Amino acid sequence: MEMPQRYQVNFFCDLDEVSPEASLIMKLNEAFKEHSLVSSSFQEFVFDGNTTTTKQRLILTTERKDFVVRFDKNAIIFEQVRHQDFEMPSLDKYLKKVKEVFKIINDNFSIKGKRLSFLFTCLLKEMEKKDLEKTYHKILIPNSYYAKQKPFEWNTRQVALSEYAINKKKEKINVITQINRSQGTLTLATGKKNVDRILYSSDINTNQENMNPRFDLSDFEIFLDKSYNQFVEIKKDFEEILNGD
Amino acid sequence: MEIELAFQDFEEQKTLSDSKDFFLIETSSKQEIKKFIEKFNIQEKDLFLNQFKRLLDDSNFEYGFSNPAEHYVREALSNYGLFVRNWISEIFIENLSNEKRTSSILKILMHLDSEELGCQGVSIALAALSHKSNAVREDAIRVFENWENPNYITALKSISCSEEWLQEMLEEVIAYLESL
Repeated sequence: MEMPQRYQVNFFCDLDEVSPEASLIMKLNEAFKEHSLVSSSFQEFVFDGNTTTTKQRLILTTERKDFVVRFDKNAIIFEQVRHQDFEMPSLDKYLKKVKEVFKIINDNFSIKGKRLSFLFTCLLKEMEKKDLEKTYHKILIPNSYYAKQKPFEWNTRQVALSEYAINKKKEKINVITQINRSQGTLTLATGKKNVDRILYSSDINTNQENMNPRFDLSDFEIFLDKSYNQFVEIKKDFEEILNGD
Repeated sequence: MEIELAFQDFEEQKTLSDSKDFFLIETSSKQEIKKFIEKFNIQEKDLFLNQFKRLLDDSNFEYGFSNPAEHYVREALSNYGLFVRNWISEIFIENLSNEKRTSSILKILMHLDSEELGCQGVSIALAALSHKSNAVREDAIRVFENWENPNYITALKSISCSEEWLQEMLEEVIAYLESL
């Protein structure tokens, strides 16, 4: 069975002035009570030339820390990670939550986004070694050496440019997909398990050429809807290739 | 090349010579600093968390009395300052549903200086004001009472308690802080 590892949405904007002050924490704790999110802080290290500085930044987190909203210097990051004891929510459920949470944030902060991104990482279903090797030949065309020696680890990354219409704005979008064969250790409720699986990652983001503050709540929601649909379409396509002969 | 680690805590700039919060590292590499911080945050953190949780569960917590858990935190704060504040904050969040541990953490905080605990201590106490348990909320109010810092009056005035005894206590603490 497929195993999602991480979902992440980034809303890039200027947030250097936002810090975990008492009045803000009180306001946000009240505003996010229904979402079981609590305000806290995390330590940000900034490595800059010969100086390393640290600053406390605001974070909203669930008790088990599987869903967090971090207020970095340059972005609001909505992250959902796999918790060993609980099932990861579905991607569309996560995105619905992100929209709800962002609406509350938008009501409390006056911010325009400079850039938006959506990331997804999952382990595809477990395969036998021979099927993992077959997958390699479906994705890549090896030379004679690797055709014979059968790599146990390989990476692919594809980046293409797309365009989304977001509220009368035409936005260039980077659409990135990575498919890798990776080995590692998974922490599960039953304990640690060594795995050798295909890791599928997607990164859809507005092109970095335009960093003007321009994205509002409506733009954010439209971007999430369009990038989700594009992600689903591309993944489905890849799965047909991988599951085919 | 020696690299001085300068810290910005809220608006205050601390230099290494003023702060016990960190160590001098001789390196010319940003990566090495990053690795050191990550390694420190994992190794020392694990040691602290394990010991602290054990003390939270084994120590006797009563208002006005110190205990081994409190002593341990005081020592850790003097050695590792900034990191310990973050670690305590993490433990608090992880144990929000554990009324005993939450309450114990607050009883430690109320005996420590709010300046020493920084924004992490404040965020813990503020989160506890909205806790579903009356006992935890009572402890949170007592934290602000003991800290004797009028800066938090606004935060305390923004909450209300449906339980009459708790609301009365809250109003008394607000009145006390306003009198300072």
